[in-house]
Amino acid sequence: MIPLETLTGALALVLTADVLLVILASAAYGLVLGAVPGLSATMATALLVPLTVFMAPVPAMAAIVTTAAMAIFASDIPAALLRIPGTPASAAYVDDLSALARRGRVGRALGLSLTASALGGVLGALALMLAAPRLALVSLQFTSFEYLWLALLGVSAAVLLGRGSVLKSLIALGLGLLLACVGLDTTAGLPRFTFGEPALLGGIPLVPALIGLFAVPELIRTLVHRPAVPPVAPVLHPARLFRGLPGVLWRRKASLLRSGVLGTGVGILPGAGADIAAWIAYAVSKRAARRPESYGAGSEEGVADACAANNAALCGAHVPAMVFGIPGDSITAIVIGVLTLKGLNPGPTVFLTQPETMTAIFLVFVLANLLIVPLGLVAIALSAQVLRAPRLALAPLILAACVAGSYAIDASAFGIAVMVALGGLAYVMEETGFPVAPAVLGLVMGPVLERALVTSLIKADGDPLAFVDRPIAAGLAVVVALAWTAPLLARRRRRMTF
Amino acid sequence: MTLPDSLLGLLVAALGGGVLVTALGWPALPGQPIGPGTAPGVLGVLLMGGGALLAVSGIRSGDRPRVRVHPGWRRPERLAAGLLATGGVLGLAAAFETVGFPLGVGVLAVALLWLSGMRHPGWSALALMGVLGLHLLMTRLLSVPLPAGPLRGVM
Repeated sequence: MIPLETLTGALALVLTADVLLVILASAAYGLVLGAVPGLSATMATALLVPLTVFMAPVPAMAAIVTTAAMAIFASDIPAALLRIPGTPASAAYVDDLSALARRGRVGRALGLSLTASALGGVLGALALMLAAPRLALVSLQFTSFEYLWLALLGVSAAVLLGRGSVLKSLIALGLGLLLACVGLDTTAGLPRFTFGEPALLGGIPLVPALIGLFAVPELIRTLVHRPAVPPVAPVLHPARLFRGLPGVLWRRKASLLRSGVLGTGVGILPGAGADIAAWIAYAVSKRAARRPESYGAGSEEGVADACAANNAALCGAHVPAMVFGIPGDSITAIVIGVLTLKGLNPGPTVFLTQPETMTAIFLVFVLANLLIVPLGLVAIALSAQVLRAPRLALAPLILAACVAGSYAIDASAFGIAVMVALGGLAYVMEETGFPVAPAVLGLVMGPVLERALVTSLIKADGDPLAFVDRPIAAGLAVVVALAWTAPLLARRRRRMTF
Repeated sequence: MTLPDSLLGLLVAALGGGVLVTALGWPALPGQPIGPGTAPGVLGVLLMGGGALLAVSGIRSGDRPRVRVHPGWRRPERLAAGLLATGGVLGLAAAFETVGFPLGVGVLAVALLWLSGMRHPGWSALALMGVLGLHLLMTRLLSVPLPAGPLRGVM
């Protein structure tokens, strides 16, 4: 437990006018950037670093933490309104948010996302605050074998997430993993599938790829298919967002808690960030659901569980970053840089030398996640104006945002070409019954999976038992095996029943 | 657009074969049986197997080798809008530094509105304001160097 004098000292550091002002300004900034497709939470936090140089440690960390938390939530707004995930963390449940919005339940969708994000974030922040050192010790025991099984669990989730044909989901996953192979190989520095194009040496740029895979097919359908869109209820009145919501949240308290814990746990593992946490929590939620067929077609349960997990993971990722100086994801890599800049070299000793500052930083996590609700409401109310315009009138603006977002990440027109090319591919895939979501996860997880595979193969030196001779690796291997065999066993059981 | 599973399966299997052949041509790490081709090789096999299974299931289900496109593609103005949103943007990417974001995307936006039947000048004005606003947000607030093209002196 945190000593009372440390807690009061930390509160005095947080509850000051400048820290609260920084939190409010960063929240507004994070909400805007998270809501603009193509501008990731990582990009938003990275752009803040020059400003944090001029701040004291607590407001500097408050700026980074608040921006990241708000951007992760705000990415759900374009996901619901335009089917464009603002950040990769929303990719797992973008189809559900979009389907709910199309059915005129955009208020419920965003209300769920808002409250589940806040609940998950607070849970993750409390875990970070109370159990950081113990939790980090577990993840430190991971070797490439554990990472391999964890990555396999992640990609298995992609296939479990796929609607319709499992075979087509598997092929889509393979295509995504293949796209992740493009560029310089990390083991030998060999260019793979670059076709002599220097811009491809760095691999397929993720942000333009995400914009293309999710936004462009929607844009093409709007312009060419012109589907009839049912009128969507406005969400301007905050009460509409929360109508019936407490009951839903109360009924789902156990699964929300599970998703928050899962998200925190996944976030703690270096390399596995909020996006992977959302995918895994979504898959677990689907497996436990009474109506798994509704996932991907407007499942409230899927949205709530994945939202709770991705914001919890954002906090969890700070555990190894702060306790051991190991970045859990790209945002915590920036956090380590900021902490070092402030003379707070991440590591166990910083908790001994500066306990009040570290506790104050933890309190900022809680505060930032609590602020998601009121500030998120304002952001949703403003964004809802978009719904009043005809989709055909919005299409050129969406295209403009796609072009700007694809260019922004590398200041290169190559990103725009990638966006269009992958968008065309995604359109053809969806029209022919291949789900896009597994391809996206393959693209995101590909480098992690390949690195773990190659390292493990070298370590194993031809001994297959090396992959399961460690207890955690064996446990994860069993979970992966169950993930693949359970649906087949369930199907066989159903056949025997009938 | 719909393509028969038999044809899709053959295409995927052919892609997998190509990936496998390419991956087998890459050298292994010194003293190791694995290397840069290991993961793509595994993927090649996976795609070949998956493609073959898809082709077989397509043939078994008796699908016809017909390619069908959405009726929207047969309407000239919708076809033009679809091509503009893809090919037009690719063309813009090729000359992005010269044409610039505000002019290039602004012209595309107005053309798309016209092709979509949204021909009231108010929509065009709104779209142009949106493009200019986005340009200012990216360049002034976020320091993203979106090219202004011929409007460099103005923006």
